[in-house]
Amino acid sequence: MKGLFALFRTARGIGPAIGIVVVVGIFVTSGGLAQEKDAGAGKIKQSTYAALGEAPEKARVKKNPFEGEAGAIAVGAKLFEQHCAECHGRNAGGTKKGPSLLREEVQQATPGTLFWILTNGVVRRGMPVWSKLPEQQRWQIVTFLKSVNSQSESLQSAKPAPQ
Amino acid sequence: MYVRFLFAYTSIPLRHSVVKLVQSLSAARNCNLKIHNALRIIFRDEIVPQKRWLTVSPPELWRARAFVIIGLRCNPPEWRYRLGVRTEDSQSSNTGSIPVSATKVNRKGVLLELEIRAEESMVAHVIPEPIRRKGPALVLIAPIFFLLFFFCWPSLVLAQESPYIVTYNHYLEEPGSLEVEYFSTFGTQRGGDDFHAFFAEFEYGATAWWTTELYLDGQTTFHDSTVFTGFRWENRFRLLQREHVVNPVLYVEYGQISGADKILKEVEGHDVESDFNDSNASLRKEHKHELEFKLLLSSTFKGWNVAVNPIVTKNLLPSESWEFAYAVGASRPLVLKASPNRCNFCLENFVAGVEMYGGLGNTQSAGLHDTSHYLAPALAWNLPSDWTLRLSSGIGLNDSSHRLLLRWGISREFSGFGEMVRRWFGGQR
Repeated sequence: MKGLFALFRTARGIGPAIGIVVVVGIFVTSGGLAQEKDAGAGKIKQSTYAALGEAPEKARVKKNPFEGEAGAIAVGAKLFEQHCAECHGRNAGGTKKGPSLLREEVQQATPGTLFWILTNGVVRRGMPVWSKLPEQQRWQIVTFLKSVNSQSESLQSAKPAPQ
Repeated sequence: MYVRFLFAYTSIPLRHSVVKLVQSLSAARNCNLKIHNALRIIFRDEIVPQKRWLTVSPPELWRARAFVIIGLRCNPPEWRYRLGVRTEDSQSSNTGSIPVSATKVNRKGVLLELEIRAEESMVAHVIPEPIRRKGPALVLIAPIFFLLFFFCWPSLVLAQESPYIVTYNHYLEEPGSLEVEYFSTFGTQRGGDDFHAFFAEFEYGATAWWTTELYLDGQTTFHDSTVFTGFRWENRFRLLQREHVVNPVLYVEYGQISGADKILKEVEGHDVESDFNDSNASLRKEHKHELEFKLLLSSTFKGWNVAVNPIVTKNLLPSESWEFAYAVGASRPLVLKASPNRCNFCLENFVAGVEMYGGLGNTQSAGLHDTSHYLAPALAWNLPSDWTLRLSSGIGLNDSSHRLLLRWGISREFSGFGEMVRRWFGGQR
């Protein structure tokens, strides 16, 4: 413990550091995340999905190399849970941080469009770029997304009717 | 010209000492200029303004070099010996007026090294001071604290970190996520004691285009002491909304660190290994208030990421010049396709890469001379439990570089941190 105390005794500049942390913390958590406030699950604006329409034609027509592969859906589900579920929900139904991916706008989009959104993000709306995932993994996520609606529908139908 | 040594405060610790003058004068010899960081200010102010000493040939400034070895027969190395030197013409006994002081302590004794200016008589004092106890407890406690904290947080997301430790790519922290990191750097030191520098890093994704980070730095120099060396606050701003072939990110950092900072997160200007030869007590006398700017250029193609970081640093003292540096890196996951199962040892969890970094001089003296450079293979292991382990082994590429900089780090990402804190401050769910 002596070493610890010695360290703090010698900690010149720790005061400003704490001050900076507090100021940044307040600023970031109060104002910096303001964009998320509008993104509540029940308040998703139509313009949220407008980014889908910004994909260039060249990107839209790209073919998914894993299309229809059952294995790719399973892998995509794992990747979705690891990287996307935090904002879009485990069943892709959306949270206050991210919109639902079960909506018609997303499900009707071409695989190439979804891949383009994943790659470029929607930075102004808080979605980061995901090009740090290898191209194959992004396609695997797209494969899962294109299958998720039918999965959720089958899950809904499998639920027992309320008594 | 003569050198006289006066041991003013030697009654107890140097009772059994044998003082030996090994080498005193070597007039007109081309001295090896290894000027320590802590001494630069002194020399710059007293001898050559504006750091022009770098361009002046040594014989014009240096005529002699003296070494004094004090053998310690009975004393354990629990005292530090500071060598104070003042010119005999000066009537002041204030050691603050000394042109140089340097101390190296090892188990056998203490080596005091003098760089002597021509045409001056000097009086040297040996002033023993207690060495500050080392703080190994901190080195142990800090990681344990982090481990406990990390294990208590629910695991939600998988971090996908690059293996770079010095180089930055263009990927920012996810909005609302906090990444806590602990990094260590073990460095070899020729002419001094090896060191273990460490820093804690708190990286927060404020928005999808802005990440802010706080670093707290410290280091342990073996056989010397453990010291807190300062803090740095950095911000990265994504300049373009979408992905391009080359993606620029602006990096701005303010740092308030001492000359004893050895984490070597960046190697700038004319930073060389011999800058760290002095004791911590001596190095800590130098305080830096720096602004650092980087342009992070990064490109990802076919799984490969290539990043280039030109670096410019300015000590906020008006007399200090701008310093230049670079860092470049390339990395790639070992496997591009993911496997269906959660696994720790799947190759997709490993990202291998290599980075190279070094100094490029300053505005007074740009170029590669008196600079150090490193090549560092690196590996990142992204665990499904949100942990990331990183390992990098930097090899010095020239004589001015540390021979080895072995770095390792552990980090954990806490998603949803911003939302949690916002609730503390009364934000709505």
